[in-house]
Amino acid sequence: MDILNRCQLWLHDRVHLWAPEPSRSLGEWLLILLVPAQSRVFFRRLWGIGLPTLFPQISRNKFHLADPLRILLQILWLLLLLFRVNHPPASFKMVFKKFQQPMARILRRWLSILLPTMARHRFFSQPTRATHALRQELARFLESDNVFQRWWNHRLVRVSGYLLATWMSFLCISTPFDTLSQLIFVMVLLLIALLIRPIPGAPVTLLLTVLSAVASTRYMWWRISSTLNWDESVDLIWGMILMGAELYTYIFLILSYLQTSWPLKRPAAPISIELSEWPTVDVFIPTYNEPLSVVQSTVYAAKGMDWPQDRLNIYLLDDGRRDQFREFAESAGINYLIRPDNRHAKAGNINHALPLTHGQFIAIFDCDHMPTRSFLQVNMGWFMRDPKLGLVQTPHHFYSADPFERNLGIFGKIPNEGALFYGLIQDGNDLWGSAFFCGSCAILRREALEAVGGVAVETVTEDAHTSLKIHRLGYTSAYINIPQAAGLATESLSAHIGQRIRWARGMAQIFRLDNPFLGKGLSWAQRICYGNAMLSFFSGIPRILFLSSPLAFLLFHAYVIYAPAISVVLYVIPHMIHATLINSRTQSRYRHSFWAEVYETVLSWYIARPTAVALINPGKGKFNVTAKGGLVEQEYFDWTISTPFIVLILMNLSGLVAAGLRIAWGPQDEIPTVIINLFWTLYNCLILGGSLAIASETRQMRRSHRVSLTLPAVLQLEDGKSLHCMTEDVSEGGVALQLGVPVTLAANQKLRVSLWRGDEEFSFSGTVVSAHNKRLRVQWAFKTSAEAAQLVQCTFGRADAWVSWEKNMQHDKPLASLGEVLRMGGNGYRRVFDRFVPEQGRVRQLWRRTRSQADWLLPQTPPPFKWISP
Amino acid sequence: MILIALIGAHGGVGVTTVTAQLVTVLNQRGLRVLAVDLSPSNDLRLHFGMALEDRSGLALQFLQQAPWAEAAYRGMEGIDFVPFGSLTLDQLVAMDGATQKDPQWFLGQLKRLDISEQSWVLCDCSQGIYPFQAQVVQAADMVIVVLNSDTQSFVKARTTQLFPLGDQPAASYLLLNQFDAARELDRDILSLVRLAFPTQLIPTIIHRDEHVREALASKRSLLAYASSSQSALDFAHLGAWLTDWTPGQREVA
Repeated sequence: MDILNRCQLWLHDRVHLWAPEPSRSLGEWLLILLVPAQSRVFFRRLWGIGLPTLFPQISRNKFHLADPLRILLQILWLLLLLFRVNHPPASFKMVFKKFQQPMARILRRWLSILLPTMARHRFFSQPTRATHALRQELARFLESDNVFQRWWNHRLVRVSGYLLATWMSFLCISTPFDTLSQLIFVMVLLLIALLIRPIPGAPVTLLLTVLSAVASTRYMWWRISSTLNWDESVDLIWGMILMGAELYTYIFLILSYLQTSWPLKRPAAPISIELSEWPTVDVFIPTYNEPLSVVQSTVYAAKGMDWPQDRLNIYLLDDGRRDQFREFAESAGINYLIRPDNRHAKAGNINHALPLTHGQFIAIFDCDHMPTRSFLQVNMGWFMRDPKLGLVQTPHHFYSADPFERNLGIFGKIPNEGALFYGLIQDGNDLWGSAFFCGSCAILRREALEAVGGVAVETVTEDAHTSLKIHRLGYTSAYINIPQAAGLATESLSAHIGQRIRWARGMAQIFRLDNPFLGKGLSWAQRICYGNAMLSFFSGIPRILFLSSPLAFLLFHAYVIYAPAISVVLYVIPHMIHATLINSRTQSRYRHSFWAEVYETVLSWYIARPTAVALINPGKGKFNVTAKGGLVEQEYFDWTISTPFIVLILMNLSGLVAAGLRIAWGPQDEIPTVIINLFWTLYNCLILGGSLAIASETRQMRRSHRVSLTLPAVLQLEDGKSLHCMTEDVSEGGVALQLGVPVTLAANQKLRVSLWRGDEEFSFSGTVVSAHNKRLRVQWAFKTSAEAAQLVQCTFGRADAWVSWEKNMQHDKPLASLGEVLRMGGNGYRRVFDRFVPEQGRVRQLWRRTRSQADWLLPQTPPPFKWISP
Repeated sequence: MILIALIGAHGGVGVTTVTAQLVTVLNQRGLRVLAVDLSPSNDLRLHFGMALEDRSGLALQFLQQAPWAEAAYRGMEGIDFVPFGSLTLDQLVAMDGATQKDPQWFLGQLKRLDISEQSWVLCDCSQGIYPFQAQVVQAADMVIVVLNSDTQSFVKARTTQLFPLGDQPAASYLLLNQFDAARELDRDILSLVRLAFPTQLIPTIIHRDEHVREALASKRSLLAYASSSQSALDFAHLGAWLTDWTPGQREVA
């Protein structure tokens, strides 16, 4: 074969794979020549499509100078996609999975021998979360007379076991390692954690907690013993400040582990006595300045509670002394109480009502918290069982989005700020007999409340303080984690922060005036639970320090952590990973990983000052009422709230610039340190970006919140026809219905909708707002207040109204959650850009041009492909 | 064979409609059902599309000493039914007298139809005042008394006049028909009936619905005419409840 022939063949080979087009542009020729034949065949077999589809951005008719670069980028992109197609799960994970399962099996066997022995101890004999199998194994071991058990029951063995464990943990924590040994140690710890992670059950949770505690304690030990530069005063001061903050976080972490080590998950107890002997209950609904519409629903819902009517008295405690409210109370058939002054706000209001009422139990609802009909029957049972039970608390559930959820668009998808407290912490507290009173959705025993002289008035968080006093007198408390009342979340960020400031200030006041670590009557566990609840509100200053400490090095060249960069990584990363692993396990449904950073950052600046002030002068500060039932009518950016964050962001941005300069012109040996600080600063920038996103208030569309509820309903048309339908969402203003057939109804046409409350059916008058196909939106047109009351009882007052609320909540995946938090931070910057850079301005034009050019150059993903196996 | 008698607490409560709808629902659930009209007004046939001028029915067969089977029809949607037949007043009196003399008349006739064990027979007995209706009530495995949510119905249900002729039947249930939640009296009566007959009231309440009348006017079954109407759903629920019921559970009135 001569050379020409060969060339022709080569060319032919190249060309025939190409789509049969008669005329080709230079760009196409370039493609043909640049992409080797083999890989073209490969791509084709892979996707079953031709090259033009694989290179959609390359024009067939026009050649551009940048085309070679674009083709190159596209090839790289395709190869990347190829990699993902061929190896969907990352290969490391596959290998790891292979080992994980047998190892986990072996470990499980060991644990099943060791743990029952421990489980015999009083501490563990609480209801467990262990899976059925593990529990059975446990039970078998408890029954069988196994050798470990007999040993363990011996005091000497037990004490020496504890001593041995303490000694070994001390070794783990304090043995100094060189870099390599530390690396090995860290890897072993991590491996153990990852291996046992898939095993369900509380014992493994405890084990992971211990691992995390060891990693964190080792880090703190190392920080204190070998990272302070005692020779440089500037470094020392910065270092001490940062270490103080870290010490606070560390103590808080360890105490939290104790607090939530074994959530009790107390079930509801049936009421064991005869119906004729059920006790009397007073329901207090304190109000001050809330609109009547909010209070109305609560009163209607409270009236609908299932309890003997002669033993249920409802009191509206109106500190606003409004005639409208008096008339409403009369028409609704409930009691109305006012007082001449407003001293001590809500606490004073309740205290004023105490001597005027006589029920054996007092249920307290904030005026927006609508109880379900089952509230009393579910919660009263424990009072009958335990005569020393002073209070029962249930979770505060919110059916409207709080500013975080609304402005970030995470309502119903990611657990909100309060979910951790009501989902996990209170359940954890309950084990230690220290579930707190939270001011609403709770029942108190009158005897206990009167024994402490009524609701506490010395501090602005009267609820926690009252329950602290009740606990000091030897009464117990219970927490039942079944949402049986729902209320409105705060509507604006400033109101939300205002509420948190009050809590923080109040907790700091209690810490000063009635410190749970001091005084009589509390068990050590109760002291820890209360103390930790208060500690959590001191997070403001440490958080601000974390957000600014990398700048100490980047801007001022202060070595706050006086250690080589690699050591910092080897100590701090395990501390963070282990804490994330265990928290993600215990808090999965209540707080996603890294979201605490977002929530805390926004509050940090605002709670820093009040807590500090309250610690110094606890008498200062007054009760502020949390505004609810309002409306954020316009989109706006809350400059006042976000000023401190903007300052912090600017500082961090300057840190980024400084980092760039240091890498370019600074000394070589500092570069690793610069890089660590650079990442820290970047992380801070993104977390702070999240607070920008939260501060841009999105508009709230309507005053009455639509609550998604799927209930059967009957649509009664004016001509007498009745249609079966399901509700989609219900609010005090209207309802959305899903019908089985398309309907044509004119707007404003009258109709009726009936809903059930148990067996009873009630019919409500309304008018058509819109009818699209099978979907109908109806606005209520109530003629009587009875209809409004029945609506509340048919919908929000149902026993199951809030039970399945979490079903759409995503479970936590730490890495995905990190990505989400960081992406949200980026979004914050974009939102600010969108809002403040004028649409037609030059900056926007420049931005648009840059983006379109980047889009032009960057690779594109080919359309959906079908797999052809080679 | 499961024999169910439907009677009304008083006139116009909708026994015939309930019978027709229930038969349709059971038929759609794949059961073998036979509807028998024992009401002299001879209206059940209208629900199954029988020609108006056709006067034949079981009563005429009886007077002519002919078997029922020849009067049975297969109506709309393949439902088997036996109409009562259009009688003159004299004929009705004759029938009244003759059935009074023969207390086993109904059961005997039914046996001659040779109905399978698994079949359901639903009889529209209007108010159960004729002897031939009372025979059904006594022989039935279950009696469903149809009520409206009004005072007459409740009074009837409370007094013993529900079964004016003869003994109490095996199992009797109450069915509330034409309930309208928008009317306060309806809700009150329902609560009262619930209190008075906690076990006997069938949990499914039939709502008042214009679709029922329209379906009859358009000569279609309710399910075919308005499948997503509330009444269609109610009857479907009622059918499900009835299918679940076995003659073993007897609720004595």
